[in-house]
Amino acid sequence: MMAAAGFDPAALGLAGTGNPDVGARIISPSVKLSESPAVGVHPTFTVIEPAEARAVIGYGDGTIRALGLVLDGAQPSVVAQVSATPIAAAADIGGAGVLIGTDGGELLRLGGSAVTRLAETGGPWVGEIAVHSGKGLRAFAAAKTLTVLDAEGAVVFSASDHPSTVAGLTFSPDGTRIAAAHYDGVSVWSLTDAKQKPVRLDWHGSHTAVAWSPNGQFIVTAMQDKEMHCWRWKDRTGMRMSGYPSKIRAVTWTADGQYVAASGADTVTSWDCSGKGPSGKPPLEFGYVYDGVVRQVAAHPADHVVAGGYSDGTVLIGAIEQETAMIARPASGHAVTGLAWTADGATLVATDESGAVAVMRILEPVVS
Amino acid sequence: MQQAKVPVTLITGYLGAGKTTLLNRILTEQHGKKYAVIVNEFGEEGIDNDLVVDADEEIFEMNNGCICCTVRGDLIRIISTLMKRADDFDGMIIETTGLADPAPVVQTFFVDEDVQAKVALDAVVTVVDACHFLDAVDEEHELAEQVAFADIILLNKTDLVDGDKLNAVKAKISSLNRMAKVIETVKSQVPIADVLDRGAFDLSRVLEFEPGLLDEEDDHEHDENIISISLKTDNPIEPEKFSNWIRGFITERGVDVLRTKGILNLSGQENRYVFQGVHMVMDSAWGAPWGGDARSSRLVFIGRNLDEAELRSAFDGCTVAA
Repeated sequence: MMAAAGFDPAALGLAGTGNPDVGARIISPSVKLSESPAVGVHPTFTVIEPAEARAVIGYGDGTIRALGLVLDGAQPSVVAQVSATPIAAAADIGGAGVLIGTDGGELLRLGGSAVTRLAETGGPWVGEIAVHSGKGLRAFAAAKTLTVLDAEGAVVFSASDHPSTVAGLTFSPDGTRIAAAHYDGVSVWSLTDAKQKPVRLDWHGSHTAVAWSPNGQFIVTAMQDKEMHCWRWKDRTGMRMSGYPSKIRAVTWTADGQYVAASGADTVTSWDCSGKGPSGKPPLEFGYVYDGVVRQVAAHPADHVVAGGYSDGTVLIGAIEQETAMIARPASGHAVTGLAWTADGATLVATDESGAVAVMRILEPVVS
Repeated sequence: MQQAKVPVTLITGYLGAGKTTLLNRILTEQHGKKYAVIVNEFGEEGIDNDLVVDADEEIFEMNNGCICCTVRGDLIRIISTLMKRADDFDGMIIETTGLADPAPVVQTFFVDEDVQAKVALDAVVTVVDACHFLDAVDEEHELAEQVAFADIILLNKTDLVDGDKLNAVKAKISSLNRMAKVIETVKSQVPIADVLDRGAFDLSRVLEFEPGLLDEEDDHEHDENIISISLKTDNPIEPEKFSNWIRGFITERGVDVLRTKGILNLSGQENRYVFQGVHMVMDSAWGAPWGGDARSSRLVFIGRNLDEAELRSAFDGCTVAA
């Protein structure tokens, strides 16, 4: 997900008057936590919408709920109901509005509590969404087709030449290319020269997520095969990162592109991609939890810090280089389904399988 | 607390065998229960259900050192999403195309952890057209594979063949798969309890499910076609010998071995040891205690290029006495 421009932390109510911390408790010297109770429905996406200073969460019953980022223990309120299951989402251009893909084949846009339809496929699920705020572009994938829309909603690019359903989408940091993950690799398309053939990054197996490093140097995928694959964009050199005990559901880059962190192990693993890349370097690890594996990871928007969400509901925030972590949310017994940071890195939102939403305020920097 | 897993029934069978008729029969007769139905293509016959999902049969190989390990990427996505919906499903039914290979579907339930956490494959039900089976089975390898993978075989359209032909069809089915329960039907009419909630992949129910396991063996020569072989010994099995042999055999021959089931009398153990496999994917557990029952070990292999004499001698070599 791209960081939104024009984000103002004051808009979150963090600097507001009154006492917004009425529902919060101190979890560690550095974190205040406020938690809404379980709703018994499985969240399907968790995104921050900066313009509204809220977390927007999609649920398996088709409800779209929102929660202000103050620590008052409030329940997320239903802002919209969609007719199919929302399965993918991203904050829209400029951090205003949320794009939502559904298993009814629709690309929807939530603005406030109004839902408008930007596109429909006539069947295939809209399972992947990416936004590039700088270029004003929105991309979505349904089955083997990738479509890019401009800010007005007009189609500016479309490609169907993928060997399988597109299972991951990422813009290049400069917004001139888009990469689609699929079976047997990644296709990288040029958005400036429609006649150009895609660059194919090949590696056998099913790639289920893709993320371009913010410095533009690497493209990493998560695989059905309990491993990651990383290509250096400059010369297309591929690197394999394996040894994970479970499927990798999430990968995340630190803001400077030095580290890529992944779920899938019993600790948060971060690979150092400085210099020639992660080859030959063991990953840095933090956050061993007694009875859980890492399901979700989200890098801090500025520091070498990553949040990890575990299968037992624990949320840890760790410093990559120090290999240390603090508890931000104790175990709930329900696997973490989503993690999202505000753009200022002061607040983290987590959801778990029970539908509970945790809002965590970081009181002092994790890395000094 | 562990939630009960949603049972999934896989219905396979050749074109026109009566799969959709069976599916609709289940959906109408199980009125009041809620099913998600996953199909590969919408046929001419409509499906009488609120939730029908169209799958696109994406077969993905896994890089786990097992060359025959394939999963269905589309099913992983569909099932993971369905399980996030608020609906409480009583079950899921997957109807494949006539040409589908059941192996990737079956393996998906044992390989993908998201699928495994929420649902359990209940049984593979293969609908066979008694009229056309003998003509088609040697030509179309999918047909033999669908029969070989079955836990339940609906031998359908029996009203359209005479007794001799029916017996020939049954003999051929038995040579392909001696584990499956064969039910003769007309227009896919079968008591629903015979096809749903069978627990065919539930290790605790292996014993009650296996009529063929108790049969005496026929003599088979080495055969490149699919055959099923069952082995039995009364001598207790030495766990280490057996483990070494079966692992080696499955690693080397997993491509050819479609399904495996076994109930073992391990030396010095109070309980039965049960296991089953699909190609190289194996699953095992302790079963019920032997108590006063006669102790013996039984093993069934379904696959191609199997040599019965070789398997028998290897199995006998795993006994304590050997």
